[in-house]
Amino acid sequence: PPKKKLGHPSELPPEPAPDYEGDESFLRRVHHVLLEVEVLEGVLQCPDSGRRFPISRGIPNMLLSEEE
Amino acid sequence: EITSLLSLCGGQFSSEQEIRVNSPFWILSIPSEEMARGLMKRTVCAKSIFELWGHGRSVGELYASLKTYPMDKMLPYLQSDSTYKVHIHTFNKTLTQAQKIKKIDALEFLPFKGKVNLKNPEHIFWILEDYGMDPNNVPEEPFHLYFGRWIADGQRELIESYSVKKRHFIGNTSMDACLSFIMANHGRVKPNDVVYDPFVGTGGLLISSAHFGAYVCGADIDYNTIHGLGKASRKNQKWRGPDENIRANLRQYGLEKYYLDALVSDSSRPIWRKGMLFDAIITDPPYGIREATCRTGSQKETVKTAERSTENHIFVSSSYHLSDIFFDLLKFAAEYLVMGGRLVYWLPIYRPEYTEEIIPRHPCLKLISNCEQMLSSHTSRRLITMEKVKEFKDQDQNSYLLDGQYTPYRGHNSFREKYFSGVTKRIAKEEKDNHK
Repeated sequence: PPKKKLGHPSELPPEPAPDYEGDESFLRRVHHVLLEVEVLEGVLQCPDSGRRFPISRGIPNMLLSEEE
Repeated sequence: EITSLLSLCGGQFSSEQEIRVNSPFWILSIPSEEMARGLMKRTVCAKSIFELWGHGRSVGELYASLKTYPMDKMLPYLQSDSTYKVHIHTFNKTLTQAQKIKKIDALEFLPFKGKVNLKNPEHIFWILEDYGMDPNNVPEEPFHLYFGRWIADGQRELIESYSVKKRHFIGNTSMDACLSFIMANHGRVKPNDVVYDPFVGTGGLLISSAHFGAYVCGADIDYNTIHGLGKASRKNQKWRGPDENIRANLRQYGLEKYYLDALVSDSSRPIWRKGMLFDAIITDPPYGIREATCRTGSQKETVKTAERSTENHIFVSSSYHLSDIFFDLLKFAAEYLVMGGRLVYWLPIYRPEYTEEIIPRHPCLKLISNCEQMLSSHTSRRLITMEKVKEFKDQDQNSYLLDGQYTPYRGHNSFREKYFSGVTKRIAKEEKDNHK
């Protein structure tokens, strides 16, 4: 099954550091991306299959066709 | 509901008496007053809670019981520098003011030292009299009397303030407010939980979880419902307005910050990556009556589309058996719930053939409760609560299907047939004839 993963803006590292829970500035940036930024129009891309899912009005459409 | 909430407050209770199905009064032992208050901050089933000082089946028994209540437990609330009032509540009977005062005065033997303040007392004591459940047959004397100190009221006013009648965005099958709060309580939802509804519709079930401080998200296969498009469910309204969607519903109650996301998705084909975990899954899957049960199918099959939006539709087929919906739902919950997390959902039932065995099972989930709500004499739905008690392993996935014990509830699509069939109509006609 396809997986859903958001691409982060470049200010965030690709993986959390081991002690990320104590790093307040990192936490603030993650909070901003997770809860304060909303993609209204765009695309989600599965990192495994490359399949793209459109987002419109803030809502991703994850429906697959019968063949997929 | 009460059991779930008490465990959420870190305790459990012992019930001194069995719950009498026909009585609005229930005596239970709770470890602390603080826990009782915690319980009342969440319950929509309970009206009020009191510290019980005495009770009995007659006035004499009540007074005798009060006289045995330890004085050192009474005194802190009867101090001369405190204020109090005594209130009398008679269930299923109306007393005149004079009668009420007489009963209150009869309690003079209790060592009240404080001053009476009817407007704003520090302590309120209640006399509760139970005159039974039959309004056509009210006895002279109550069946049971209780006396206690009022501790707290429950959350029953939420039922009115969150009423579906006032909600901006509703669907044909939106859950009523009281039930959706009960479901959130069964789910033991607490602040900062993440709650998911895989058949979210207009988001009614998410609202109650958000009210209790959880972050909420949901998915639905119906593009139009999630986007808030198409025909309205309200009488007198033709099309949905621009403010009708799940986020707007949360905004109506000041809960918008708890909105995480909504997706158009087929819950029989989950799209979540591994490692995603929800604290609770609270949902009302389609029964196949008002909303057709469906899942994505080939493009050749026709679909019922709404007039306004045509982009991004995948055509849907109509042969998704509901026994499969519950199978998929339990499998999803087993994999994507945190350990100890709860799944709460409605299961439609054809009553003449119901047995406990047909409740869907899964090796990773423990059945916590099963409560019936009758819809008609032959149909009902059951509120099922399950808790994840075992980690999901990939090899578990389908092997347990072979074990007959886990065979999910069959013939659900036949629930739809039975509901619409001549059987129910004939039975309804028989009942009507019997009434004549």
